[in-house]
Amino acid sequence: MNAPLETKGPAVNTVRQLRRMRARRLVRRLGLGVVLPTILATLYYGVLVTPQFESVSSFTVQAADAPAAPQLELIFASVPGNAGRDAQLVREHALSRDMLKHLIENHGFIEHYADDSVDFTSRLDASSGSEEIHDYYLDHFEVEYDSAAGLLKLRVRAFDAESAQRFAQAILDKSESMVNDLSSRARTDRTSLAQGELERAETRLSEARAALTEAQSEGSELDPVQSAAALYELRAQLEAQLASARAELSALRGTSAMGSPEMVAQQRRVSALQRQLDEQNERLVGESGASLRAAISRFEPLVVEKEFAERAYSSALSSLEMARVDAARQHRYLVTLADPSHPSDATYPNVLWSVLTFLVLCFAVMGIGTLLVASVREHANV
Amino acid sequence: MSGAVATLPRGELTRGLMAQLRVVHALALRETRTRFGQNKLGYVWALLEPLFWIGTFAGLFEVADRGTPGGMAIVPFLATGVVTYELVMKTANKGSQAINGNKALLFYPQVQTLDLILARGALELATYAVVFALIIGGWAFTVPRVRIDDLLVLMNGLLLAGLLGMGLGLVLCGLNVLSPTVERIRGPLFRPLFWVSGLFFTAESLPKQVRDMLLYNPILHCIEMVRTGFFPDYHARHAEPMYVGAWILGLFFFGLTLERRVRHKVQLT
Repeated sequence: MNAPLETKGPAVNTVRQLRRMRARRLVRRLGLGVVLPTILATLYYGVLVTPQFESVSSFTVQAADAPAAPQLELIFASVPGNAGRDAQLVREHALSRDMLKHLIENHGFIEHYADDSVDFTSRLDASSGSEEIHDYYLDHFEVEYDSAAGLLKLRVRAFDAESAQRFAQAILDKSESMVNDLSSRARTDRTSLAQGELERAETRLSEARAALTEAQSEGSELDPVQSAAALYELRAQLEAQLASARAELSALRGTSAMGSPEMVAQQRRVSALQRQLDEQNERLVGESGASLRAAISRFEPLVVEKEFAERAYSSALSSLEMARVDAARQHRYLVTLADPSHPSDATYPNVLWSVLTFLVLCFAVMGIGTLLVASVREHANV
Repeated sequence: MSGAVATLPRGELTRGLMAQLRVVHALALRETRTRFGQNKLGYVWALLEPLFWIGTFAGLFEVADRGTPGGMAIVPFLATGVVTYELVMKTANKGSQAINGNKALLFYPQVQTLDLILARGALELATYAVVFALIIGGWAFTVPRVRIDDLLVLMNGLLLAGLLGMGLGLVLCGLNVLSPTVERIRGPLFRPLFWVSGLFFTAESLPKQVRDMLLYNPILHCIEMVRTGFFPDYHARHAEPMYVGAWILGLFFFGLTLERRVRHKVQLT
C-alpha cells in the first residue's frame, strides 16, 4: 500500500517502525472488519436466536393406474407431464392462503409463531397484514417436489418439536381431504353424464313398449304384420296347389274321357282351390283387408321405435359401465410415505455453520474492500 | 476498511475515486470504437448475434414440436436465456482479454487492469441491456399486449450476470498473465455451460436430481431471475440472488488478489 508516509514525519521512516505500523493497521482492520462482526454473529446465533425444530414428512399422490415415473430428460426436458400434475396441485394447495387460514383458525398458527418467548428477529409480528403472514408462512413451510420419484417432501419449522409435528400433520390431513374431494368430484362428474343418458334411454324404451301394448290391446290383431305374413304364406301354398291341380286336370284330358268321374273330381278340386285363393286375396288386398292394412301401418312405427329404444338403452348401459371403469382408474389418493418426524434436536440455527459462513463472508468483503480502496487510492497518487 | 479510511486524508479517496471514474469512462468510450469499430455493421452485430441464436433455437423448437415450459412465449423465453448467457460469456471473454488487448494503455500509470475490466464490463452490460430491450421491443409489435412483471428483478438479474462476467474476466485475466494455456482451455471449459445454463429449459421443469446439480451453475440463477422479472406467471422458486452474490464476491476477491500478484509481470513485458 502506497500510503503517503512522508506526511507522518521523520519518526516513521525506519523499516521496523513502518512494519510495526502496517501490522497495527492490519490488526485494527481485521478486528473491526472480521473479529467484531464474527463475535456479534456468534452471540446472535448462539444466544439470541430461538432454536427452531424441523419436522420432515414425505408423501405422494397415487393414481389407480399409476403411470411410470417420467424418464430423466436432461437438456431437452419438456413441460412436466400429467404424472406430476396432481402432486403439483397438492403442493400449490399446501402453500396456499387457504391452508394458512386453516392453520390459523384450527391449529393456532399465529399463537405459536407470535409467542413472546420467541426472539424478536424470528418472531411473527402479530399485527402484520395477511401478505406478510403468508410470506412468513412460506419461510417456515416448504414443500419440495421431486418429479423423478413423484415424491413430495414437506418441511415444517417451528419453535418446538411438537408444534412442528402438529402443523405438518395438519397439512397432511388437509391435503388428503383435498385429494379425496378432487377425486370423488371427478368421479361423479364422469358418471353422472352417463347416468342421465341411461335414464333417458330407459324412459324411451318403456314408453315405446307401452305404446305397442296399447295398440295391441286396442286392435283384434296381436301382431298384424305376422298375420299378414301368415296369409301370404297360405296364399302361396294355395297357388302352388292350384297350379298342380290344373296340371293334373290337363293331363287327365289326354287320357280320360270327358265326364269321367276322375275328371269331374279334378275339376271340382280346381274350382274349390280357385275359390279359396280368391277369398284369401280378398282378405289381403280387398275391402275386408282394409283393417289389416290399417293395423299394419299403425303398428309398424311403434315396432321400429321399440327396436331403436332397445338399442339406445343397451349402448347407454355400456357407456355407463365404461365411465365407471374410467372413473375408477382416475381415482387419486394421498399416500403418506413418512409420517411427520418428531425432531429431538433443533435443526436451526446451526451455530457453527452460520458463524463460519459469516466469517468467510467478512473476509471476502474485507479483502475486496481493501483491494478496491487501494486501487482507488492509486489513482489519486499518480 | 473503515480503519483504513480514517488514517487517510479524506480528500485523497474522493480524488482517487473521481480520477478512476474518469479513467473508466474514457476507457469505455474508447471501447465503443474498438469493439465494433473495424466492422462495417459495427454495433448492429451485438444485436444480430443473439438474434441468430434465438432464430435458430426457435426454429429447432418448432421442428421438434416442443413447447416452452409453462407456455411462455418463445421469443422472450429464448431472449431472456440467450441475452443473459451472452452477457456473462462476453463480459468474461472481454475481461480475460483486457490486458492483452490494451497493453499499450497500461503504460499510463492512471490505467489499471481493474479499470479496463470495469470499462469493458460496463460497456457489455449496457450493450446487452439495449439488445434485450430491442429484441423485446421488436417482438412486442407482433403480439397484442406485453406485460413485464417486475423490471427491477429483471435488471437485477442482468446486473448480477454482468458482475459475474466481470468477476470471471478478472480471474481469467490474471491467470492469462501467469500462463497462456488458460486462454486455450477456456473455450472447451466454458462451452458446456451453454447447454446447462437454462437457455432452453427452466429449473422448474427439470427432475429434482438434475436440477439440484445444475443449480450449482450461477448463470442458471441469473437467467431464472431475469425470467421471473419478465414473465408475470413465472416464478423461479430456485433462483437465489445470494448464491450468485457469493460467486461474485469470491471471484472478485480471488481476481483482485491475483491481479496484485501478477501486476509486476505485466508491466515488465
